[in-house]
Amino acid sequence: MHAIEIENLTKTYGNLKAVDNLTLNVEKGIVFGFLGPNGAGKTTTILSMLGLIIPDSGTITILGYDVFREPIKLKEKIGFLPENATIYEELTAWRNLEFFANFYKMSRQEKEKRIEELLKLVGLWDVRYKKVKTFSKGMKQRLLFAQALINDPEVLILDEPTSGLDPEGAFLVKNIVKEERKKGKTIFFSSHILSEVEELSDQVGILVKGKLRALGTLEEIKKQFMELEGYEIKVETKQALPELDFDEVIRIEKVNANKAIIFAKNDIRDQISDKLSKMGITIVSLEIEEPSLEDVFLKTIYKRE
Amino acid sequence: MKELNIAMKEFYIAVRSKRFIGLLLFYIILLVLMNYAQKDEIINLAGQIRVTRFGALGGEGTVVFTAVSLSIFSNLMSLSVFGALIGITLGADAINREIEEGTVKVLMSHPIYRDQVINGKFLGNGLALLLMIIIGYTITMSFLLLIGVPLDQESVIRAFLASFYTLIYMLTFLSLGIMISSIIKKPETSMLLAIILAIMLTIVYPVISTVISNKIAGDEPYCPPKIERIETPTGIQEVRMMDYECPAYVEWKNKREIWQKRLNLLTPTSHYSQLIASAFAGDELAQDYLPISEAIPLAFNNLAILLVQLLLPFSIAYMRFMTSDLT
Repeated sequence: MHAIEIENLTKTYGNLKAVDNLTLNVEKGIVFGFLGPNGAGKTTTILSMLGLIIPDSGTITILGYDVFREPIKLKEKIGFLPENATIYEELTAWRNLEFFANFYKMSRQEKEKRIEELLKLVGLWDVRYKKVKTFSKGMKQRLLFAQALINDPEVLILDEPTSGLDPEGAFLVKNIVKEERKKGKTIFFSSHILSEVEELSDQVGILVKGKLRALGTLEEIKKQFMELEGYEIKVETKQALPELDFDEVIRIEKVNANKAIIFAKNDIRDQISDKLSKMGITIVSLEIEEPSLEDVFLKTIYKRE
Repeated sequence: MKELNIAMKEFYIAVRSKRFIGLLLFYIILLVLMNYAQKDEIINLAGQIRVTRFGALGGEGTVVFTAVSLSIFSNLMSLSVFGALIGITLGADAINREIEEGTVKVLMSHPIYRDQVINGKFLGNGLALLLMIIIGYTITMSFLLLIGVPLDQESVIRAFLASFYTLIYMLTFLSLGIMISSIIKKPETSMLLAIILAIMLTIVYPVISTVISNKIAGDEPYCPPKIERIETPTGIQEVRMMDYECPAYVEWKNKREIWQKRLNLLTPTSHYSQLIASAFAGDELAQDYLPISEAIPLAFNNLAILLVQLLLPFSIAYMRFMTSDLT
């Protein structure tokens, strides 16, 4: 069963299609990284998942609950960290979490225990009775993260979770994400930071101009990318490299007499290896240069349009 | 109850805001000064009843002034402008500020319906207005006790009734403020617009309605002066006086009053003024308060219209909040 199911989601603002017929399924218990440039429609998708934006068409189901038909049952099981949001600045950190905890069926003791746990987790225990308006941006972001966890959610939706955080805060947030994943929670997060997506995600989706351009595990996406863009094979031999005239070869860049980079339509390492062996040439190295997520991301945005 | 959770948060934030504290302090100072200015009149009225005609801000009627009612009456009449301003400013950024700051996204990610949010906001800010009325009431009563005026039970009960009407009046403006907040995106713009609207409805509109009704009624008709004979020590003198019973004048006056009443239907202030007059309604013959069971129906229509004026903007705000994107 999928934790999140989005089907044919479309949202238009005037003439602009912010999300264009998006279909996306996220499995239970994984960390899903949602990538895309600014204005790609990531936040619109996320806000639609919470019912904050009413889409033109499409359905969204989270944990089997329809976002628009059963919002309360659904929201009891999810946690959300919005981007560029703040929390009630006139209230203290404790009072803020208490306010949000009051929306759930929890005893007073349970609430207090949970609030204490979370404030300690995000490192705000010592400032729990201070008003949020006295907090730094990073502290506010950590408190926002704590409110997202108040109900011990099964699905965590995080919109740019490390935005505005210093390296220490970002490290803390990433650790919490990893811990929540270990507990079997599903985490759906959007980010601009590719290293963060690579580090945390089991699956990645790349959204460009409201359309899903790539979806899968990082390896799958890279493979898809290479199939479309071509394989980059590095070859080094002891003797001088002969001519490698395979049909699949797009072009060859010679580095020196023994070294070359072969751009091919397919993974032709076996054919290269066979040919070189038959010619009695010793292979020093023969490997595929995997594209980085950054390559995939940038080329997906700029080339495949 | 989730609405109550939101209401208590709204109340907590509202009463700690600089805006509320500033307005409350201004109101308290105004109240003390007004009571002080009327001190001698209040002391002279102690233990007495004065039944008199009242007419202001679109309300009119025979009212009873005792030391208590005079003090409360002037306190509440000051709220016709000030209370409107407080009510509308509390509501003017209730929704759009949450949207602008993004707190609504956090709030709505928890298990609550949109209607619970708007109801909670109305309830919480309404409680802040109630607190203001209670503080004003307490200060007025304390002032009376301080200057040694005994509190008569009947006036205190009427003052409670008038305070209830005041709450409804202020809630009407709160509702208008919330409506503006749901329509205008920028909190600063909605606040400015709300203040202008409150001033228009409470100060400018009554003046405009008088001018318009005078225009509709036309020029005052000519009536031949009434000649009255007055006996003076030097003999009988003939005095030419305006004839207020001249049919043409009566017709003109009635037409003007009818139009003024019609135009005043639009502003909550005239209904509030009429409700306050009815709470302290007096009987000229008996030289006492009209029984409360007869006083309340006097302004029943005004109460009904005021409630419509409260519910209509709230319904618009409700519809907007329920159906729009919260981004």
